[in-house]
Amino acid sequence: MNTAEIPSQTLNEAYNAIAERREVSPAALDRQTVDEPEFLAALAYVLGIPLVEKADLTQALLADCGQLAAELETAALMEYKFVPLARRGETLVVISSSPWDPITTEVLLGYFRQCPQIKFALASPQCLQELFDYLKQAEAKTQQTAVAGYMPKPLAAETVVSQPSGAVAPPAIQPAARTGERAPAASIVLPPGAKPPAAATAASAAATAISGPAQAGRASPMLTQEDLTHLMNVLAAEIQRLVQQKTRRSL
Amino acid sequence: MNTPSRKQFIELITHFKLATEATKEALASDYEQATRQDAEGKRPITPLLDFCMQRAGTRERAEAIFNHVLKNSRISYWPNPEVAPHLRDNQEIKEACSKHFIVPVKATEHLLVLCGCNPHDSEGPGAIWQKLAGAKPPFPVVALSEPERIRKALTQFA
Repeated sequence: MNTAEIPSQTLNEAYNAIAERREVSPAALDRQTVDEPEFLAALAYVLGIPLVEKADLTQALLADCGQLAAELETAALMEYKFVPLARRGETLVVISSSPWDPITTEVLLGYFRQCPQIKFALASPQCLQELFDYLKQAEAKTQQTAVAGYMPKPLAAETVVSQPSGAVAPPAIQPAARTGERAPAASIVLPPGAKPPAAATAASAAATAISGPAQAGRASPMLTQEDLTHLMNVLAAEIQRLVQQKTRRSL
Repeated sequence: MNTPSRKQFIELITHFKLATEATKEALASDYEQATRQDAEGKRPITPLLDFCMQRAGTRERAEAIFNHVLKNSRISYWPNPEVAPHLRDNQEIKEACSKHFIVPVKATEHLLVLCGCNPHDSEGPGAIWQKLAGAKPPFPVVALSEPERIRKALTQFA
């Protein structure tokens, strides 16, 4: 665990708790003698949240995580260092190696809008990496299934259009934005880290096919009303995003 | 009814209108009777949350009660409580856990994670923590879980 990332107050509280447990004064505590398990335990204690360790990554827990994480890109989860664990009513429970990071909460609130309450479980970066490895494997399996002939349903037309005008837009923090890469158009309408629905991928593939030469032996692709609505949605969301960016810049 | 249960009782009957001012003492008495029967039958003592969820009327309303407790508490949630394997043969811990309807999901040298149903309850976690505390007592952390899951986990004790 990289202690440099931990807010100083939390860090001090953790070391104070360790000192108290060892019955020494905080000033007398030699921090070099604190090993990772003890430090993580103290951190979980001062944060008041359970600690998830490698031994806890049971099939049941992995299945719970996999279910909620299926809608999100594993790369984005890795970027923000969290994995959703459970959703109960308006509460989302998330495993994170940096639960104190406000960006984590902001991203979660942006994606899981029906869950205004976020609760955490702590995991070490190593444990979280194991969880990511599992999710990556699960994601790869899903993609293989899709390649093997699964044709997803088209995106529902109301995905973006139905948003009320005053709706809070998801935070415009995307892994791609941080690295300077350009996000694909299909992902613009989605909250950070959200997987583009398979239908969006299909629509973008259709668009590519339209702009390129018609392939021999295949019928010319036709845009349906649904495709057009979807494209309009993408455009509307892009406009909204640009306006938000400009608003932020002007502040 | 102990103080933590009483707190939760007032909170839930008020919020979910499980009883009126006139009937709430009768409901409390029903709960007392249920817990007495559990004790006599040497079963885990029904937690108040479970008792209220059973009287919710529908499954959706029962879930709403649980979700309300989770949302309004400061503690986190543990989805799959299981008794820490090395404690499953410990009869003393089993008795304490049955009495307080709490599961020790993790009990290491440094950390004790307990799963219960009442965020107001410090007596139960305290009792189990004291039984497990050695020279260097572990850091205690309490999480919430559904009564049915805790009940299932409690059957893991020998």
